[in-house]
Amino acid sequence: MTQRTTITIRGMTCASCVQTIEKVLRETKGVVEASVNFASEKVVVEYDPSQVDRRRLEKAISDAGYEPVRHEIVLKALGMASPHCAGLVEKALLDTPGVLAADVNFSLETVKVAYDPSVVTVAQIKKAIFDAGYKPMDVVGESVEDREREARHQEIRKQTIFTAMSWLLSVPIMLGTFREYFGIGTFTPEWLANTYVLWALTTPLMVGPGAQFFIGTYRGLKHGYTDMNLLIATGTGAAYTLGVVNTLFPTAGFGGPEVAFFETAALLIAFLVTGRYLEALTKGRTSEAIRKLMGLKAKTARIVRDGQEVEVPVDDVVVGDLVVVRPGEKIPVDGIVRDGYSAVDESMITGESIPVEKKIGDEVIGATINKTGLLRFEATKVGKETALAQIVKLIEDAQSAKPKIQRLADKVAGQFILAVHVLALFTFLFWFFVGYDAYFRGGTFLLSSTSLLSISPGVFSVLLAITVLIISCPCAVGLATPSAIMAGTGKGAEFGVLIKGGDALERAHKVNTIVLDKTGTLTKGEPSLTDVVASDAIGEREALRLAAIAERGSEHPLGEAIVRGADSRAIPLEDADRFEAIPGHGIVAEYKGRAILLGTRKLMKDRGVRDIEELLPSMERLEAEGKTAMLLAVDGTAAGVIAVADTLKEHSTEAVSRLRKMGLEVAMLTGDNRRTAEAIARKVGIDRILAEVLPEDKANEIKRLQSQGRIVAMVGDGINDAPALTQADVGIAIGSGTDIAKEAGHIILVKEDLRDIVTALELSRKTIRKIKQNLFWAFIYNAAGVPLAAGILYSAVPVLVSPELAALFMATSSVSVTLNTLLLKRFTPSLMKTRKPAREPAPPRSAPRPYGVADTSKSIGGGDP
Amino acid sequence: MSQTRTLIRRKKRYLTAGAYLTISAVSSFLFYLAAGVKGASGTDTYLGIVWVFALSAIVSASLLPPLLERKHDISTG
Repeated sequence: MTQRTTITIRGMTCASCVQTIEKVLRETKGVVEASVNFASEKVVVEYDPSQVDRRRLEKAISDAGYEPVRHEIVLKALGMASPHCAGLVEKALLDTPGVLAADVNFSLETVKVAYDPSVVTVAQIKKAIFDAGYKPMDVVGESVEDREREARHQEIRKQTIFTAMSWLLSVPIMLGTFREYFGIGTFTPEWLANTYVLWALTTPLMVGPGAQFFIGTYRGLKHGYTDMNLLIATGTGAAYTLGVVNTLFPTAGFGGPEVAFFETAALLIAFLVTGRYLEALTKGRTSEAIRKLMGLKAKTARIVRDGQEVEVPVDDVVVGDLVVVRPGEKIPVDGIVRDGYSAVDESMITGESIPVEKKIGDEVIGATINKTGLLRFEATKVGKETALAQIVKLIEDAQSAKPKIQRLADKVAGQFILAVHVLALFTFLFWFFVGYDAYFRGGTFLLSSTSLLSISPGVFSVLLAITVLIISCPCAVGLATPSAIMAGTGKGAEFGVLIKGGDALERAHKVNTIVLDKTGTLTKGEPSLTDVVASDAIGEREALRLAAIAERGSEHPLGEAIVRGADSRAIPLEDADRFEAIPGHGIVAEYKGRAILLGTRKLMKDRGVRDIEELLPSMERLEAEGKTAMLLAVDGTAAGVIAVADTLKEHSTEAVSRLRKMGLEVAMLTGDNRRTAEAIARKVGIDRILAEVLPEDKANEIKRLQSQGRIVAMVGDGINDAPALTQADVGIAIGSGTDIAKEAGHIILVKEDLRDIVTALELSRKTIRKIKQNLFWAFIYNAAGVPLAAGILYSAVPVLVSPELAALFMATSSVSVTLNTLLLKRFTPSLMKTRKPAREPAPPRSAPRPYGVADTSKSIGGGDP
Repeated sequence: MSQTRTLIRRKKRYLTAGAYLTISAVSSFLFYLAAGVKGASGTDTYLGIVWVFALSAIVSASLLPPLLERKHDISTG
């Protein structure tokens, strides 16, 4: 039995770090799989807990030179009377599975706990303290989200200081170096051009902002790994060393004090550090959506305990607690309404902008906002089980799961560093032994004061090799895919579309056939009253009233549909005096001396009902529409026809039409008979029907379509249609409440709106397009930059890319990839662009609509929705 | 048992490091010979020796461990 855990990591600088960490973890005994997401700076590890624990995983990461960020909280533990008590608390905590470290401060009565959130919750930690005989109090420390945010801010702060320092030192170095050019000498003192001064200014740059590259290189080499730090360290180190040699030994033959190379080292660091600063700034923004979701969690809840309303931290709410939420307050956990009526804004979870009415028996979702009335509800899901926690986990997992395209990019980036060093070696050897003699014709480096005539062939060749090293850093390749997936999955969550990973996104954009399950997906999945045809003598309303009174005692779904239909039309109902069900035929009832019959033709004939013939054409018409029609007779005379059918969901027709507009073939899959299926398909606008398919054959039907070369997306109920959803290239599960974790499929639609399929497909197309753009630019940059840096065009144009310019290109490439990804944040589903502004609250999922609002029936003009 | 494993690991590490240094030294020596034939200046030759040594060490540091590991795996079945 394996376990999964997510560890946040600091210190990754490029895609090769991803390879390094994954390799280190995979080599750790007991680790089954490790997948690092460079953009979110997290690794998901699947491991065998009997062989390895989280502590050892963290050690493996820190041994590789990276810093695992621990989940930590600080709690009060009241009641400790002696240091011995502190020992007891510590022992109780350390004995709790998932607790990694416990540090008790006896004098402050606090305990700092490091824990694995995938194994233990804060509530369980508090319980361990409580069970040890002490009273745990509110969390006084920061949450893990706060720590992650703090870590990110720290990184931004650090790079801000480094960037400012780099430029503050680089500008005078540049002025000193270029003093003879562009009239800079008019305002620059002569002493600034002295090589010793330039050396003095460059050295703090090397040991300050530049040190991170050397430290990273050292850590990597210590463990036998190479990463982008090595490229930068080799480049800047070589430039600085040449500068020092030229300063101390001007006659050594490397160009003398005129070509000190200090500006090369300084500008390299300045550009690279600026790149890291911008990267840190933009990288955080791609994962903004998930942080926003985490921030939605309520901090406290008002619950009823011993008849009193008390406010407690949300982690202290347990299943079964009665929670009170006033208008304007946040609903703290998931539950079922036991008292009250209100409209709730669920937009943050489902993306539905219209508030949803909540009444007794309805589900409420934690983190949504209660708008109008007071609600009392019973907590059904708390902690990790809430819909919000499940959504966050699902998105985190999705962002860590690597699609094929990313695995390939990471592999390429991992081997790239080695290839670049080989290339740099060949560049040096070529120019040293062949190129210089054959092609050298003077000229200059771009963005450099170094005249090529003033340097020796050896220095010329080394500088070209340095430029190759600097320009080829694969940061942009490493960021291209994960940053787009993070932005895409995060954006999906905003609209209630939960995408379970990059692979799902990758496949979804190729889908050309959509198969929609009928019952529960296109339709509501329960019969509703659709038509009432009445004889002139009785009238539609009276016919429906009598039919509903007769069915009131029935538990048959068709009978319940008739009663609901009458209720929704505000028809007052009383109980029948006598009721008898005749299985397979209908019912017989008596109400205030009137004999009521409701059922099949056979029942009517057997009971000798008169004037049936007049109603038979209506009955046949309704049956031809796929509805279940029942004859009504009152006192032995036919009085009407009542039709019941599974009705379409509100947006089914629009969704199908939008999908067809996207160029997809839409098919309907159902176990129903062909006539009923055709009737529904006609209404919704589907031509291709797969009818009379047994539930167990649904997956085979998908397989059959796939064998025809189609890329199939199956849309169905996440729990009942699981095999078909799994078989499909993309399984899209329509959310059925708050149990998101149980849903099968690759994409989950939180709300029951089929139009979200369109949003999911649009988003997948946009995200994949973004990934392809990013990878294209990242590779094109390297494909064009490396030959230029190696001097391929030098024989034609006597100008070379200087190491400084290479650093500028390199910094720009990763920032431009991230900025391109950020454009995804502007994604708006086509649906939102055409949606009209809504004023009325949306009805609850199964709530009846008032009489006469919708018209799905020509006969009565007020179908049950 | 674990002591033996540590010793083997240490031996392997020394062996790998020795291999890096040998490859780098051989590359630098070959460079020195070639530079001599070409008639390069003394300073350029020294610079080249350092540069070739550094890059050869980095390349062999990345290439050698997996190669040696593969060889070890094959030899131990």
